[in-house]
Amino acid sequence: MFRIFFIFFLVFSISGYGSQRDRFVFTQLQYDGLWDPYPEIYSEILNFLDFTTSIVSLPERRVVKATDKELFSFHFVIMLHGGRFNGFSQKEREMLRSFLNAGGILFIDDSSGIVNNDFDKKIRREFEIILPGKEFTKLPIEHALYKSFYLLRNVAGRNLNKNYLEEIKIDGRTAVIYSQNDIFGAWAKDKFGNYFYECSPGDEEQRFEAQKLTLNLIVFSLTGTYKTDVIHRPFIEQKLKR
Amino acid sequence: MSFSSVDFTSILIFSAVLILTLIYSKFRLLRISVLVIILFILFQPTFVLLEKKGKPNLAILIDNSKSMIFNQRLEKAKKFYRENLQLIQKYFEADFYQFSDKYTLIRKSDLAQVKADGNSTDILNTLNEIGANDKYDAIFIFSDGIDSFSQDIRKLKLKKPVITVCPKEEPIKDISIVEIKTSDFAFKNVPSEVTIVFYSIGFEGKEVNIYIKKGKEIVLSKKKILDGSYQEISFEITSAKVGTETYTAEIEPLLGETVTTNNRKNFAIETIREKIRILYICGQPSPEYYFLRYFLKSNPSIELVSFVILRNPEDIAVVPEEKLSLIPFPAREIFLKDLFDYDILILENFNYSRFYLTQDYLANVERFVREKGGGFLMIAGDNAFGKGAYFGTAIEKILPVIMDNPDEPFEEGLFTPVVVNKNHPLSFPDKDIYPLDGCQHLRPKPNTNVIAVHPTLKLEQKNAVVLACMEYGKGRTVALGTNTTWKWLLSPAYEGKSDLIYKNFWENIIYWLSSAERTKSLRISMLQKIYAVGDEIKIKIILLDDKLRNQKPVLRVVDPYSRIKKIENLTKTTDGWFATYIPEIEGKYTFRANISNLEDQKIISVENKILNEEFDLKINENLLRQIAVSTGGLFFFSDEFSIDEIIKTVKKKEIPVVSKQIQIYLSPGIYFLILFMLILEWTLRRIKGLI
Repeated sequence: MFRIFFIFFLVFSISGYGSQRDRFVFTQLQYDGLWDPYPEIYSEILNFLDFTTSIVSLPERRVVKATDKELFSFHFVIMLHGGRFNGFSQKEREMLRSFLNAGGILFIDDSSGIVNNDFDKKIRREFEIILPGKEFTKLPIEHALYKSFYLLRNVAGRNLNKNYLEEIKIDGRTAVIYSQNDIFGAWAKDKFGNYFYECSPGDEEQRFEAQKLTLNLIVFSLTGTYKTDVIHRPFIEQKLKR
Repeated sequence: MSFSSVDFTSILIFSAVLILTLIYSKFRLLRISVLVIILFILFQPTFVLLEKKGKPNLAILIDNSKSMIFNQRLEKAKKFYRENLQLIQKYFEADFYQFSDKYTLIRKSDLAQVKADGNSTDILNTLNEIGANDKYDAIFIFSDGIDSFSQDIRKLKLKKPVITVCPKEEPIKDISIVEIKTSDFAFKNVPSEVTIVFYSIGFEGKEVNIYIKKGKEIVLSKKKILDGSYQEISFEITSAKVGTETYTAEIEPLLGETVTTNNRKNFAIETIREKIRILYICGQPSPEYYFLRYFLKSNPSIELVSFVILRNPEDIAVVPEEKLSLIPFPAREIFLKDLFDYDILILENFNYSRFYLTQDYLANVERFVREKGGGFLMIAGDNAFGKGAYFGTAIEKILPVIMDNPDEPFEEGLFTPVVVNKNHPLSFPDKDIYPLDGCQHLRPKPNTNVIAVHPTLKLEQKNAVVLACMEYGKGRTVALGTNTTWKWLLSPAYEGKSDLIYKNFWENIIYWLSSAERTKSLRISMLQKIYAVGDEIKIKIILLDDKLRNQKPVLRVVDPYSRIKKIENLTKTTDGWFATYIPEIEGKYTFRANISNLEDQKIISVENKILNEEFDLKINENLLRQIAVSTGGLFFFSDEFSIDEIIKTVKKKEIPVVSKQIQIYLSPGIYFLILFMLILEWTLRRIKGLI
């Protein structure tokens, strides 16, 4: 009886709020617009993460609004864009500002596949308000994100609209990462298990690069600039020369 | 004859009476005489009898500065006065003074009790001040001539003869440490220069051993050939231990040395860390690792080397190794080779057995704490404490908690820790703090410091430990039963509160583990604490925070009159800034440096001349001779004393002195005279029938 109760308690506590402990939680931002273009991809990503890395994750997705107190329970939040974005409310902006200034990381992935679209203009304007005086800058290829787990030489995604990612830094720390290449779209599958989108122009190789970049993004969110530490440099430089 | 001042009203009344008397009186002469006498009395006349002085006056001085201790100089002075004072007083009147940098009038009987306790000697000024008294015809001084202040004879303004006497001594043989120049702090493991200034006499050409000692242990030694003057010798001290340590500079005494107590001098150096070196090993990427690593990296006084295990042996590699950024975990280098280079080792959620680390590795960690004085912190997780298979290992010995076997559960769920030891440096305010998530099953070891516990989780009737610490050997260890302190960074932000609890919590742990006080990012450093007027003071402003090094600090000095002056001659150096300042007056000077809300200050003392009472022991016969010659006096050694020479030299000054005083206005005769004259005048008027 005690064992049954304990197992029940364990399952409940893992799946319930407030029991994430030190595990990685796939947390997605809900906002006024098409915020959830790929509702199922998280399990693919988490499986890949569990198989290939030492990271322990919660086998579920958490969805938070910027105004939720729960936003501050997760340090890494993903914002996907499915084609419509009505902007943030004043309260959402204030909460996102507090979250980012306190150490949170926000990853924005434009899944629309359209370059320089309305979302791009709106999200830049939003961050001019949320983090005044700061602006998006190109994430250099030497950035720790490109070597946090896999050694990546290029940006990837379902599309290659931009050959770079962008970032906003707060106190020297990358707090916001912005992609216009629909990185997460490379994971989307239909109900038969086939990939939903083709990746262009690089096809499956490009998809794999996008998946590796996704993993790097998660590892980066848990290790920061670890891979730029002096101790790693000679090893990485040697590998990159090959 | 002398007169006192008289009341003006009395004179007016008296004048009115005189005029009326003259108008109405027939015997004017008598009455006028009476009135003149009364007027005379009103001025209180006194008869003063002066005569020429008998014996010349001498001020007899005895030097009571510390240098008079050596070779029993003061005792020789007392003996000299004991034997000769009767003879001196036969020909001279005498007052007695003791002097060093100040002088005091003493009684003759006090001469035997004079003690040599004056820190410095100011002979010329003492002579000028005592000699200014007209009473004295000459000054008689017994001294060794060692003067701490100006020895420029032109400063002697005296016009009276000074008879200088000093003891005759064999040439002094002495080596003495004058001063030790060193910065009051040094960086751990970085050489710091210490310069010993010493003075020698009588050992020219001889070689001495000079030591720097810590307690009785000789830390450094050098040899030096003595040249009979002021010399310097420099050492480089490197301390591997943080904190203040007292050293002794010592010059080995040579045979025949007069005084050996001045061959040694203590000094202290505070050793601080330039950086606290931390080795942080984490078993898996986690928010705790992300935030703690960022926090430690952001602290300029910490040098962090971290390893996080990104892939376990059982994980699948979907690409060739060269496409992964992973490096082999250098376990051997870390645990057996380099560990002792660090100050703190942090193991977070790290299971050593998965990486084939043997017990030797863990035993080395135990030695690192016990012998080297390293700090060790274990942070919770599924691979920590009992779950990390540390039960029964060397690590278990050094931790302040009792752990169980790998099957022990991990307490899930949010909890707010309760602080049970509010006085410990690791304590933190537990009121209104945000909950943490998940807690290891840990019980306290006896005699360890439990700082915080789980509010509800009980293990053997005691609340599970969340934070505990202990001292082990030379080092310190901490056990943290949760790895979600990062919640204290994000959760307060929702309510617009600061993240201070997180910062303070981790700073306290790091500084306590490293046994170091918080390193100040800004420091002023000067080599000496005492300077002489006119010396160039070299001021270093050391900036330990790289971010501050390009900013120019503001340096001000507050002089002894509380005047504040900005020092402008700052030049950049590799570790901060450098400036110089020349003090013009004696007293205390405060130097203050400011940069970005940081401030440090140092107080130094500036003196007219550095005291030489304890190292320059040679009798300054030359100064005493110069004083005698320039004032027309005499110099002689105490055993060559001649009263006849003094009598010839000191002339009696022709100043009349009062030998007798008669106050006429108090004499009854004068009042009898007035009465007689009034009776006579009345009688004459009666005879003439005028009344």
